[in-house]
Amino acid sequence: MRVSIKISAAILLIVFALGAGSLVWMRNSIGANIWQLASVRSHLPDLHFHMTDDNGKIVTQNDFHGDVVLLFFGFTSCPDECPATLMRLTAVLKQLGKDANKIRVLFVSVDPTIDTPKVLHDYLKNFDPGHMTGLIGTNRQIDTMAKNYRAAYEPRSSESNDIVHSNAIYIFDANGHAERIATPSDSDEKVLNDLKQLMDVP
Amino acid sequence: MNAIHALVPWEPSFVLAFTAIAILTLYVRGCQHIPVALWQKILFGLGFAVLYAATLTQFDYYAEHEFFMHRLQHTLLHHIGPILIILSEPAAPLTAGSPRRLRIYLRKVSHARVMRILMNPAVVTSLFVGLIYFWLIPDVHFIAMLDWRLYRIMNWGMILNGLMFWGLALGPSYRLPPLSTGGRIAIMLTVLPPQIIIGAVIFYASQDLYPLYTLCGRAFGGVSAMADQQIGGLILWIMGSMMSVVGILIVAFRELHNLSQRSSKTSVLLLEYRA
Repeated sequence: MRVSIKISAAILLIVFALGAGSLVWMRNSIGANIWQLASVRSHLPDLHFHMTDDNGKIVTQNDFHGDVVLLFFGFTSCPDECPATLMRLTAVLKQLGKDANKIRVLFVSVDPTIDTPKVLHDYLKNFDPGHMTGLIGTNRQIDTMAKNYRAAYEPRSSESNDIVHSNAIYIFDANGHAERIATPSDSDEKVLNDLKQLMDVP
Repeated sequence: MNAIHALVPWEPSFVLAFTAIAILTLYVRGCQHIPVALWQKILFGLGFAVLYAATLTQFDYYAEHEFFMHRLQHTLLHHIGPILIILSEPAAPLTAGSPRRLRIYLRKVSHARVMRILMNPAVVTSLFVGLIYFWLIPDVHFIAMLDWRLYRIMNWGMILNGLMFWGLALGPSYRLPPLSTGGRIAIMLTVLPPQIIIGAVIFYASQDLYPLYTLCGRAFGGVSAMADQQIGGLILWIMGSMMSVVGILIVAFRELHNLSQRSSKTSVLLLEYRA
């Protein structure tokens, strides 16, 4: 009995040490101070898709290899959030100047019934068409992508005309590895800072 | 159509599905070999259905995208499901339904030294509280909800630890000297205050502790971030402590029942003696 108490105590200690250790590890992976956005490195899958772009071409992640990718979900008839995010990204890209050429914004439409390539193409002209690509997929493709990135998504239904979708901007490095996640409440400076880190620009 | 759709797993997990099917098969086989009371079958079926619904249906989508639904999921996985299963006393039908080789292996495992340590009340109780706290640390929670591997580990841990804890508290204890009634009540009382405290801390928090849900989108558009967090805190606070109270009532009721049975036996003996 004595021995088993000692061993139990030892196990408890080990469990708590492991808990504390993993906590420190997670903190480090999130909070290293050169970065300002939340890290998702090695926690979310690599960029992977097979969709139609706003020019009607079939594209995959390979077409954007070498670019830092900013991916987010939205739709052209979205009343406020989507245009607001696109406006912000346009402003950020402008501040980057020439370096913006190493960046690609992927706007994944969650409204495949209304958003055709042409509609998307015309919509993106309002922002920064040179650095932005609209993506259209089948319901299933959008579903899979949203699920992979833990993004909430509910399409239009007979009961509700609303589309539930995530506001997050998922940021991938030039090799397609998930790196950071940005929210609408993160300041432009933070986004800018982390994009520069990823592009290795001073 | 909609009802069927609701039962389709949100994220199919083969390990989980296989385990579910295997355990159900063993149980049904066991029921054919040995007599199992109807109430046992009903409790087991309910517990199984609760665990299944919380992990292998569309419920999972809401649990991933609404904090209070996540807390509800954990209440089902950590409390309600395991309690129902343990109360059904499933060990006999499950062993009876197992093939011989598995039965021998199970016996070996249950007699192993590691089990004795793992099932030590102090270890099980600390794990019960520790797991709730650990996964609710904001940074940990953020990553666990995003990374599907950690998410699965978290939910598996909740089910296993739930079965261990409620097995000790309410189960018939096949191994070890079984925990005394006082011991059972003590461990259920021990986990009560920590759950009230963390529930209250989350309920009264003035900032959004778990911004992930805002980030990835909430499943219910009409619920604000703070309301979501407060409902989640209340679920931890009230549901968590309520389960301990229910458990204590069950144990107390059993004890009273035993006492009255024992005393009626003694009085019968006395009467016989007098006669």
